[in-house]
Amino acid sequence: MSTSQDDRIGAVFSALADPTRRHVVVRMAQGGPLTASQLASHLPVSRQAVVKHLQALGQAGLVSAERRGREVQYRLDPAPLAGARSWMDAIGARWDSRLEALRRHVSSK
Amino acid sequence: MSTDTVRREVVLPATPDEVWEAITLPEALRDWFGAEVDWDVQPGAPGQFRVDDGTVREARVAQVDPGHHLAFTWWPEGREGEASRVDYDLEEVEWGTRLVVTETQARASGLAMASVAMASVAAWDVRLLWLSLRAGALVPA
Repeated sequence: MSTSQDDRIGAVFSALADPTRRHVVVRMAQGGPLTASQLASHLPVSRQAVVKHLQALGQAGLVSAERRGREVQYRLDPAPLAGARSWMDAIGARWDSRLEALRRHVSSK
Repeated sequence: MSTDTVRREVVLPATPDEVWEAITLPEALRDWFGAEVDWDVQPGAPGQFRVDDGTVREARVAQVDPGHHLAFTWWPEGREGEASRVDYDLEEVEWGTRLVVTETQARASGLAMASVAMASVAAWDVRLLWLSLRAGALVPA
């Protein structure tokens, strides 16, 4: 795994470490593009706080902003999350095959 | 457990001492791990894994409790900032030995702050997020 890919995955995990941000991501997954006000109406935090969370998610590449007239709509981009998941899947798959080989190794003794 | 921890558990038909030999002795590791391992299993000792796919990983032994626990960190040659930690926990059970393996990203370098934040995220949180994204048809099944 390259350093830059590792850094991107680290940024995703960091962005998702906050429960409110995870809530925002799930809400966007269910509701499509939303404004900060619409998101804030579903969460126990202010619109300003939601905007800060959206910026953090944006820095991780999970959210993009689009201006529509006087409103800014935020859209979810789940691709970086797939990268975070694939790290665990790749490491896990390696251990699955190693441990199967270890089972064969000790069984043949 | 942080998001970037992988955990696997297996019960092996062998004694803890036999499993300990399998996870520490180079000739055993050559057979099942798929690597030429050069190390001295002592806390703090350096080591090297020449993996069958041609890559080389450097390692450092962290904790040694023969028959019970072995921990080491390893990283792609020259990139210690990408180190991850491997822990083997052995426990004698009725049918042999339960071996639990965890591998955790240490993220010692530029991601130190992120790793503090990550410690509060359970692995299943990312899985749940993934499932809700899939339910919203945002990612392919």
